[in-house]
Amino acid sequence: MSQAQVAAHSVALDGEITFRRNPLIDVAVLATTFVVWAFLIFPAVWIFLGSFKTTETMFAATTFSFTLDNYQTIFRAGFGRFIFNSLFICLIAVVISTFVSVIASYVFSRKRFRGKRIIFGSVILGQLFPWIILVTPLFIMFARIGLLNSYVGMILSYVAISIPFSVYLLVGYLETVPRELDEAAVMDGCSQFQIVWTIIFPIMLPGIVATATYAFLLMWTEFLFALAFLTKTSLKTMPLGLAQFFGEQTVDWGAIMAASAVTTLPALILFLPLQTKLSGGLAAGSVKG
Amino acid sequence: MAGLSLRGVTKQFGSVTALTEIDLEITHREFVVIVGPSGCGKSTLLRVIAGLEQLSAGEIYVGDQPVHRVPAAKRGLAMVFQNYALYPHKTVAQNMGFALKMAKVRRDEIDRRVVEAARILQIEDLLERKPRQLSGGQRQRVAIGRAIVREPKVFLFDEPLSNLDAALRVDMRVELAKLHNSIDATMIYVTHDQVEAMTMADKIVVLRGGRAEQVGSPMDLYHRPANAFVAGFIGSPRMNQLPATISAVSSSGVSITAPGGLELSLPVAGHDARPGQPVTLGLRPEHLTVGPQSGGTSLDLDVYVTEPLGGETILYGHIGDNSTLVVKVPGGTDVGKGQRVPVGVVPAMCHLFTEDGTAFTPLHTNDKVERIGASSS
Repeated sequence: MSQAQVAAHSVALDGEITFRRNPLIDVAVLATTFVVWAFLIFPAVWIFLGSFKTTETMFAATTFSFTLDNYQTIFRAGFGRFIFNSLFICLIAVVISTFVSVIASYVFSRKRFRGKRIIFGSVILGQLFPWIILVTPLFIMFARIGLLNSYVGMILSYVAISIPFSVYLLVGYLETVPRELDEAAVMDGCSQFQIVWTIIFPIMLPGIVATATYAFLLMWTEFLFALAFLTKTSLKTMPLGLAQFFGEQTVDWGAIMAASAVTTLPALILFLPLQTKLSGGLAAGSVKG
Repeated sequence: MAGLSLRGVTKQFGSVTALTEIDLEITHREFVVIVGPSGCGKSTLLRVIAGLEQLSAGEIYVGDQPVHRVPAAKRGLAMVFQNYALYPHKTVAQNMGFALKMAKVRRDEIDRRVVEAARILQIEDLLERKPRQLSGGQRQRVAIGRAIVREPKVFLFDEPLSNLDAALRVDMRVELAKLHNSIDATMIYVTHDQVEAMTMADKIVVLRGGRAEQVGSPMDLYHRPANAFVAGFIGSPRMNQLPATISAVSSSGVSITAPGGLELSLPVAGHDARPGQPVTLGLRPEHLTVGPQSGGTSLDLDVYVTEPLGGETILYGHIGDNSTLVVKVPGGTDVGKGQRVPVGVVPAMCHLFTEDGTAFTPLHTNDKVERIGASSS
């Protein structure tokens, strides 16, 4: 306990211990929070406003000339298709990744088997490789089995990159779920599959939402694999679409800002309603319910 | 409803033996309490009976049916867990009816049984609540209700009251005893609390190190413990156990010398005993009195702590060679810290154990005490 905190504790005349807050500390905490919040939110606000500005007023601090041209530009350039591709690939990959991760984490958390620690360690090991190392072998493998320029190839690679950390998160979450619930379900006549999906899944839902959100955002913003495995314009995802506005000679800042705003929107629409569950999931591991 | 039979039940976890050849016969409607210190294997025994752990050796019968290879849900047993194990996302009614739903029982039959169990447990108004909206005692009732609706042959309780506060634990103990009478059930109850064991059981199984030390009625275990461990475990405060030496052996009993110059002739069979043999003298605190006992003998106690509990007072003191002796006296007894008081001992109420802990058989008793386990073999 710091001296300031010790000083803040005092014994009232009636003998009760009271805690007197220093108002200056409150102000300092609020001011710091505001500064951090401003740093976080400023780029998003600047991009959102910039997406509605004309090229001439883009970097002007005092003038604002409203236009929707930037949005027309990106959708004429096929950005709608990129949104569809990203949504299609990411949503399917998240569903598969979550399904596999829930089952894998249940097995790692609840089952006793030989070599469990080594296998679990190897799952996490996959997360430690820089993705750039994986690109070349995956490219050669995908080329051989015809998965370049395909949704299937992208979905498989995104499932693969998201599973290790998802499993790691979910195993940690499962450790907070009492094993007696599984045993009660066994006594109630549930099969292993029913235990996972009718008992454990609903209880783990906040943790699963947190994990799926992480996985979705990981895939949604992924650039390297998409660049390597997708060359057909009709299959490109949003990060690739965004990159095409960076020309060799010129940069269309208005289009980039509009594309950035559009890129952010689906993620917000999908996950804002789940925010309470997400925060619940992240906090649940700390307190045994 | 049915009885339950364990024959040579053994459970090993790798190289660790958790249960060693447990034999136990439980008759229909019997309330059996398995008691023992932490790590003695009592919960493992219950889990083996439930089917949550596989047997390493032995057989389990429910009624006439062998169930040790039958899945847990099909053994006809219901278990109440220590931490209630209520499904947090389901309502009370859904929790209670879940096993029946899994067994594909008709909806109206599930509702009927849930309402009936709720009526017995007086939780009708809680049926639509979620577990997090319930108090500890209410959750425990729901957990019991979940077992009742299954109409099991045998109920299994794994330390069900250990998470409740002291007052509620006493209430629930009475409730469980009433429930046992009202639903005509065979119950097996695991606890580390010897008071629960003594107050609730028709039969107590005392476990130590995965072995059954003694099986018998509460009064059997209290009055005729098979060994020093059972004698120390059953009874509160614990039985005083003092080192002593045999001074003489006769057909009428065994004479001993104990700390504090105490000389006693105890009415126990001394078949293999010989003078000079070291033994352990067992004195229950409630069988000692302050002041000389007529027909008994006495020793001096230097009191160093008194614990007044209202109706009774516990005295802690030293005797002779600094051995500690605990004495339970009526609440009004005027004894204070630092006093030296004479403590009366009645030989007929004393217990005597060999060096390895086995009890000497009392003379003048026709009651048969069932004894099993290594220490009595």
